[in-house]
Amino acid sequence: MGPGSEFADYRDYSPGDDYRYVDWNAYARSERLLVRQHEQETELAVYALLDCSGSMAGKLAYSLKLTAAIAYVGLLRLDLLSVVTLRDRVVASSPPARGLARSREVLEFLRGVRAEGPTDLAAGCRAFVARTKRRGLAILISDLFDPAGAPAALDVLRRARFETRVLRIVDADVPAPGEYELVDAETQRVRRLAITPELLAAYRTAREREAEALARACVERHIPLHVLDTRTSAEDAILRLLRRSGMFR
Amino acid sequence: MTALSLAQLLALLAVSWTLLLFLYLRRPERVRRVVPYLKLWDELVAADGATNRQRTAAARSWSLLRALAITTLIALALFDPRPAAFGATFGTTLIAIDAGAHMRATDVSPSRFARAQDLARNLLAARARAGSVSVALLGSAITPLSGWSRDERTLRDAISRGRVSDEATRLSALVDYALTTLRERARPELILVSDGAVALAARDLDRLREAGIELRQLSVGHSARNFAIRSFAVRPLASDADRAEAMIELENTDRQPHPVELTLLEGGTPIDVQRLTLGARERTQQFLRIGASGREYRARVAAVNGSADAQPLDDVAYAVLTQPPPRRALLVSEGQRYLETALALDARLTIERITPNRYAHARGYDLVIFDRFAPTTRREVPSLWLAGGPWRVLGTVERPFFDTLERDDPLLRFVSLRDVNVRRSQRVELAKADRVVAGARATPLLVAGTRAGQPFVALTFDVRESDLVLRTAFPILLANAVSQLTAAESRLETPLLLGRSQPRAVPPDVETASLRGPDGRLRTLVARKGEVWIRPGRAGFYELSAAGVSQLLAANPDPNAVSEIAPRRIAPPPASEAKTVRALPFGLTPWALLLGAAMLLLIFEFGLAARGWRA
Repeated sequence: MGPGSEFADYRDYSPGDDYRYVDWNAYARSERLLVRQHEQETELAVYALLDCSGSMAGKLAYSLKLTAAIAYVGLLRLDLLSVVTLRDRVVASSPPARGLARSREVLEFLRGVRAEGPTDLAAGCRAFVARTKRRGLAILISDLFDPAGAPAALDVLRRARFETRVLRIVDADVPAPGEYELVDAETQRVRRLAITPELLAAYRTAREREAEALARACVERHIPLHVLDTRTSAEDAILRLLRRSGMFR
Repeated sequence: MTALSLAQLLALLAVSWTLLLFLYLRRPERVRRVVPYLKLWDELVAADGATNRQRTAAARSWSLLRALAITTLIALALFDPRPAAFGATFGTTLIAIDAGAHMRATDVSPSRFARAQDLARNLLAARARAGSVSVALLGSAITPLSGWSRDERTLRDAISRGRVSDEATRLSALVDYALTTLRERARPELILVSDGAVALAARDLDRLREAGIELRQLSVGHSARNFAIRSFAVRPLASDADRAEAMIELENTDRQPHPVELTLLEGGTPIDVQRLTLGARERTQQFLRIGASGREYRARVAAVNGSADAQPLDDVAYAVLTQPPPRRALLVSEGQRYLETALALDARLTIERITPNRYAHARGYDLVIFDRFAPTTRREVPSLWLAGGPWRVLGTVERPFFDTLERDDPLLRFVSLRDVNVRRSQRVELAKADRVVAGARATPLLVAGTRAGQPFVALTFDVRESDLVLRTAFPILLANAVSQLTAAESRLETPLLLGRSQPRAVPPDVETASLRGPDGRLRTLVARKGEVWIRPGRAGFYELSAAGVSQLLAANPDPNAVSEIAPRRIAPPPASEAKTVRALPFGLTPWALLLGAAMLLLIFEFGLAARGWRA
């Protein structure tokens, strides 16, 4: 899954992958962009960074399923797995575990996760980096709704030499036109607003632009980004999208 | 359900508008919703804040206007407005629907009467809201179908209850009724929905005008194509008890000739079929010799090319063959074998002969026959003169000829006299009214006339001085003369006419009689002084029974009521044509249009709302 001396397998190219690992000979043969995978000579540390800020409240259950699945695969592969919840800080962290025998502990940890509080992913990542000696694979599971901007958090992880993957969790919960009292999930700030069809169209456009900007930021940083809609079942996300991307063999 | 009044409309609008204004102007209820990233909404509103507020306010205002418009349209539809553009302003309207038998004509489908009902209903749309309306049916008498009303549904139901009759229309009955019911009413108006087959008398028109009643006609029907059986009779032949004669009078009321097929049926079996062409507005009689074995006869006329005429009611006629009552004739003669033998051929004629010297009077007889005898006494009964007549004889004429014959005269029916040889005849002085049937005016040979109120027929020559007695024409001529003089045909039962009450004789001591009609129904009639009055409602055969004695009767439509169907104006101007409601396409009415507009607005509102849901 990361750079190593032993060639292990090919996987499909994902935006953000390091071009140095693209097998051009394979491309010449098959006209498919394939990336060489190498065996890690040392055991892999996997960190599942779960955003548990208030904006994740509506997506928490989905995210927890996803995190649990990642943890299970990591434990199965005898990777050293830790689950870290963060928002503007590190909220909690499960002790590193290896092997399926430790899966109960991880699930118990996830059961206690609550989504609340403000989002500052960069601060949270900095706190994570500061307390984590061992480098490895960091999988950030978040909606990336960050006032400070999500790319800053990615920079923190990248500079700390974590191999980073991003799973962006989005939902299609868009209000219909009407009179609303909108409440911010994190700050509880209230705003009265008449949502017209025009405003709604502008909102959608803004969301699309934001998504494009995040995707571009990930590409520039060579960080694979996977956007998962909560309408897609967590099982489908794990089995199809993540396996195809080579996050897990 | 009746429409709203103006006050109700205003009240409904006031309440609905107030409610709508309250709903729209009050602070709207806001839905509380948790969003993950309110900042994004802040940025959007900041970028478009003022416009969004204005847009929101404008959307609410337009929605309010549409809601006000929808409620107003629905309220107006309930009010059921009738703008003046759809008709004149009215006061009191009497709508009379002609239900005479001529309205059964089928040149408009399904019949003129049904069409008249539709037209009357169309009148209601404008008049019922603007004034009082009453509906009546016009036949031989007036049948009111409703009282004065403004309720269109009540009046429509009343019109639907009307039924066409088999009677002749009597317009004077309508005028009398209109003068009574429209007296002292505001702006009275009489609308007659009719084909105009019966015209209004000038006197009746004046009566209406003097009473200030506006007369209008709503015309129905367009065709005058009709060939009718005006009368049909079957009588036994005097000279042959086993034979009968059928007389059918046909009429073509159209301005064009039409080939027709005439069928005579005995019971239900055709016994004679002939084709002929009826000229434009021609009336003709057809005489047919038939067997006298049956009693019930039908005559039927139909178009040869299959296209029916517009009035089927008069295409079939019914007749009953009945025997004439016996007659008694007094023959005053010295004796004449040929004469007596010829008279004896009529089995229903009883002859008593006396010699001229014994003649005193002929009271008690149906006919007196003078053979070479001219009494000067007053005749009490019809008379037949041979070699004589009730006139002054001026001389003789040698070898006169039958050079002039009135072929259409009933005396000469089936009689040929042209080559009869006569040795001599009398030169006589005729009265002005005497009719020369054969011979010339100066030398009459066969004369018919009246003396002292009694009819006579006379031959001015002695039949022995001619070869007439050797001809077959002689007994036929005698039979025709006897039949005409004794009015035998008039004693035969004539068919009953529909829509008219007619007497029929019954035994004098009965109190009731029963009448069975063509539909099999049995009615009991009250008898008075040896007769009952019958008013048949259907064409066909009737059986009248009293004291164990039955007689068969036939009933036919009255040709004067049924056959003349050419549409006409009932009265000259200023009686004008009535205006019905100017029909909107597809039969729409104002309230339907208003409701449709309200529905369209509602659909538009729904579309806007759905667009918001999808957004």
